[in-house]
Amino acid sequence: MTSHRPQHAAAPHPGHGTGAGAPPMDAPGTAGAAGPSGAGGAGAQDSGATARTRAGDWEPMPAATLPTRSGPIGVVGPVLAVLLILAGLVVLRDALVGYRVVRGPAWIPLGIGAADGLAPGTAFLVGGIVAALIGLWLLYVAMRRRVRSRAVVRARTGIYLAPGDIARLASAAAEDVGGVITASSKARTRTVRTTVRTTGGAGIDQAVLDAVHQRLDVLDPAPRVTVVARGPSGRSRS
Amino acid sequence: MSRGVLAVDRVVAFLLGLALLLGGLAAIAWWAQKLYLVWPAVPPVLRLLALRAAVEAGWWAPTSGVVGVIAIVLGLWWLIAHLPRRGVGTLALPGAGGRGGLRLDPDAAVAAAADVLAQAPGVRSASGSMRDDRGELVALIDATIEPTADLGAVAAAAERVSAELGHVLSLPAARCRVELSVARRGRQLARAG
Repeated sequence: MTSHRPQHAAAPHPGHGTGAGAPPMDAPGTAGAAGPSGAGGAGAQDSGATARTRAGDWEPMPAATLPTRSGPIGVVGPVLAVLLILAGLVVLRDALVGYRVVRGPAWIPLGIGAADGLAPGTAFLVGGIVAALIGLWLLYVAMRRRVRSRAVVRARTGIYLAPGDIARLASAAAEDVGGVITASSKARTRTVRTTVRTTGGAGIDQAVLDAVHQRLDVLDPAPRVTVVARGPSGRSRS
Repeated sequence: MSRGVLAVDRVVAFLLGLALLLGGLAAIAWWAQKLYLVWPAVPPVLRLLALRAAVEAGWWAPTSGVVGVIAIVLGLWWLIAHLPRRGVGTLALPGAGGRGGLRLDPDAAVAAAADVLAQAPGVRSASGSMRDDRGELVALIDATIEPTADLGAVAAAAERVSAELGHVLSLPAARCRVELSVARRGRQLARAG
């Protein structure tokens, strides 16, 4: 994902490199020009007037729902499927033993024979506790909601950031403050905690706090920021 | 992975969890000799005579063969249903109905929009595709931005790209999701002088 894709979209605008002063998005219909031929033409056929309006007049697409991950049920499901296949294989093997296709003793009667006549010993206590705990965990997994761990960027379309990426932005903002040697951050969707090592100096933690706040201002809601500064004169928090 | 197979996962996990919980509690109660409180005729030792008779019976081998095959086929179907299939094929353009109508490859359009977003200041790279995400037609753009990027400017660029993409797609049902990730390190600074 970090690798550069071939920039064929840049071909119609050779003057708009990243270093050029003009914003590269000022030409209307850039995506249409770079998109498959016929797409833009069909839009023009549909409503000839809109094709000539500038890109700024078009509404951004409505935001998609927050990206979610399925959580542990996404792993438990395939594991249960594999267990079902394994159980089916054991039952099928016993059937084949019954038809004398496969040699050797059938496993299911062996298991039943071993369990028959057991007295309620410690094995039942341990096995019962383990089974009950696994059962509880499965119930929790089955009823757990999907995982939503994305912060929303304030915009007219859906733009999302993961907590780890918020932390990187916060650290970069803190490192831009004069007097900061290193910065590291931990973030959740609504809170950020930045730890900086500084050369010392008054008000440096407040400056870091302002910088991080300003950088993450566009998040909706703006996260709560905590800064811990470690300098030659000790540790301070703000 | 569709919503349907996740629902199957949840129902099976729930039922299996309930069975394990009740079985486990019963085993603990039996060990503590309290099971007679809910089952007065509880035997002193485990008796599996009925099961023993079943595995000896003549119908056991054919039945277990059929059950085994069904379990394997169901398990394979269940496992394969978990493979992600979120891509979207070509879509009909509105107003181009009937035979020989115009069709659009939405992946190409979204990929082109991602390339445009990759030109914006502060954006290092971007890629895009069309997804069917839980019943929603989502134009998904994954963009990697510089750690020092101005998030507001990136958001504004993404809005413009989204507007242009929406115009190209002209699908009222389509929605947009731009997932930003931040590069671990900033680019090497150019040497001054």
